[in-house]
Amino acid sequence: MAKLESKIPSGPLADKWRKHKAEIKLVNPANKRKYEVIVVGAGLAGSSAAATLAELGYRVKNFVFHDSPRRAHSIAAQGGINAAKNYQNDGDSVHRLFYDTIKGGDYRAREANVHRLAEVSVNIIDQCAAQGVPFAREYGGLLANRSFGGAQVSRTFYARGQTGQQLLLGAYSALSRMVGAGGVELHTHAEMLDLVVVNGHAKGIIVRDLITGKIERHSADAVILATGGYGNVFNLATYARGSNATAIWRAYKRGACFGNPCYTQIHPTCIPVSGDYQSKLTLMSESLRNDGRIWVPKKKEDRLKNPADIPEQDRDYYLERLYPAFGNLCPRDVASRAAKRMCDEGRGVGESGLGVYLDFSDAIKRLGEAGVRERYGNLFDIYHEITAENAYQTPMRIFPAVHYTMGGLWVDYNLMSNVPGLFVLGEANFSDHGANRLGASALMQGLADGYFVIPYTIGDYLAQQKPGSRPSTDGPEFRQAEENVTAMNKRLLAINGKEPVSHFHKRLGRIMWEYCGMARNKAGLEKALQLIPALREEFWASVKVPGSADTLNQSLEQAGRVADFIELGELMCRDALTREESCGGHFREEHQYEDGECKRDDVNYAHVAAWEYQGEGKAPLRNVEPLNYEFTKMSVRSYK
Amino acid sequence: MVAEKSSKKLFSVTLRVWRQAGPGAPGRFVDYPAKEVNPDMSFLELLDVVNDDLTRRGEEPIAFAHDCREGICGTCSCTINGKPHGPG
Repeated sequence: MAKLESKIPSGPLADKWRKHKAEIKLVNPANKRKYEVIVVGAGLAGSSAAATLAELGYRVKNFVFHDSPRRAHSIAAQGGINAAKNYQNDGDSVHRLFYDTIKGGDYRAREANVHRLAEVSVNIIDQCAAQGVPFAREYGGLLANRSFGGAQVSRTFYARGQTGQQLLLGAYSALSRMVGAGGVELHTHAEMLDLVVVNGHAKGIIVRDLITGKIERHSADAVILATGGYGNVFNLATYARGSNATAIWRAYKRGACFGNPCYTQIHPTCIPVSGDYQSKLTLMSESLRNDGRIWVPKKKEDRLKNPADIPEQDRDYYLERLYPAFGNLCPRDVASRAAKRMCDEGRGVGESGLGVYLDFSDAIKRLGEAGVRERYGNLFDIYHEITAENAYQTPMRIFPAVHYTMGGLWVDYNLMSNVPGLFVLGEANFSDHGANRLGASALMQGLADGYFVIPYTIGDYLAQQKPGSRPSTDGPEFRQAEENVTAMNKRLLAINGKEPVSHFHKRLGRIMWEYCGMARNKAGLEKALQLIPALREEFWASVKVPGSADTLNQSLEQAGRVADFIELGELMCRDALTREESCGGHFREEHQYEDGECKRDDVNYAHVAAWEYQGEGKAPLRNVEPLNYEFTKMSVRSYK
Repeated sequence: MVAEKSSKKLFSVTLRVWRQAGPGAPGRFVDYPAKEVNPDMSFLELLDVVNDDLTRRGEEPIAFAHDCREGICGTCSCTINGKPHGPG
């Protein structure tokens, strides 16, 4: 049974992080260069961590499966990054950002972690501005802000509708500087396929070169995973095609507990599905909800009418109606479920009936088309590229889609897994967002973890490791892990069945969306827990993976990732079934108030579910970390 | 997941693809027919459909770099008729 020690420092909430930094062990500056740290992934969390650790003097080896760190999916993030700087003088503060995030997470996040996140948020903006990130500015030159969901202050910093791209390019340039200076050894086209644990500590990884197929062993004093989220379990999501859970899943199989896998986020505003061949769902940033108004026709019979022909009095601006305090900017889970309810009532738009309008006509009257273009121009272009429709003249059609995963590998206050020496950053870890993440907080968390948390906390672990005690890659654990990887690839290639990997991925995605999506129930989850193991058996009996392992083979890459998704999907359903309450992104139909809102059970479920792998064919063990709220009163989460 | 039905007409297209096993290896053009193409598909989705078909028939799929499928990451660097992201 895994020991879960959160290591939350004692004392008043606002003092914990300062106190912790003063008390954790340090690594002497002259000793830092004796330690090697592996960082897997170079999105916002990975690049910022690798760059900062190298600047401190550690020797960093950074592995990415792309051809360049600048391809990480962080680049697609659109709307903005939160920080409690109160530039708008509208009442923001560190405490308010902390409170909004805890409430936004439906009281299922760790208080201490969230407060730290709010505290360091202010430093992130300064760091990025110093790197030259072109944040939007007001006429006088000061940084501009806009609003995001779940907040009544305007605290989001942004760069048009491409904030993720600009922040990533900032972190990438910081990383590249250290690559050039020799502090970071960058390995591209390198995919981590196993974690190596020696005497209970994470001391290395097994990597496959995606061009040559060669399997490599790499050792280090500590391993950091910053490999992103697992939303692609649903196949259709706003993620990139390559985004996967393999690094964290293989670490899970080596003993790292997986926290709250069923906490998945469905983003309310994405471009609707248009066909079976569809390979992804495109995000339309939440920032659009600052100025766009969401509506469906009041009458079912109007749903296929041209929206221009539906007069104002026949339009139901349902978010403004249901949640007057937050209106169109209520949190994502609330907005997604409301969209689903409207479509279930038969008032959804578009041929399939799975769509709602996001209308900019009022904003265009108020700001002019040029004003709207300045704030969101590139987003309207993306919309036009994909739908051939001009959203300056007709409302956008949008529908919820899988976008983010709040669950991930369990970590303590130092961002270390229950496997010592294994650290997890960014979307790959479970912490900070509870059961629902607020918009513009993912960018904040990734950079907080990489620039301002891990550079301190990793020292506490490394100071306890004798320099030069890194195990050799000739050791038995490295050999066993390499054999494990080689054997799995060999097995996948040998099956030589009938259907390509995509066939199984699509089927898994449909099962997950149907039974573990926006609304879950006991019967559906139990059905999924029969369908998924059956799908898994079919996959291993009849998947067709052409080609060989010793060269570029994209089918083999996808096969390994989908094999992991199938197993992870089963764990997600198991987690959703055991959590008999509704909270944030986890909505159980049996547990709701009359108005359709989440009904939490704080008596029995105010805890983190941290699942522990027990071996092939065995049910995983559910460990529990209680969430003791010392400073926040758990209340009914209302945005009315 | 229920998909919106496209009211557009499906069409057929032949892809003429340069196949080459690796740098330095000889290469050649190979024609691949793609039938019942939905005009709502992206070009990369068309390649996915062609590849699934090739895989089922025991042929080697076309390896192509791609990731975000939304025109932001640069991995595919796809130009259609000489324009990135295709003609507007």
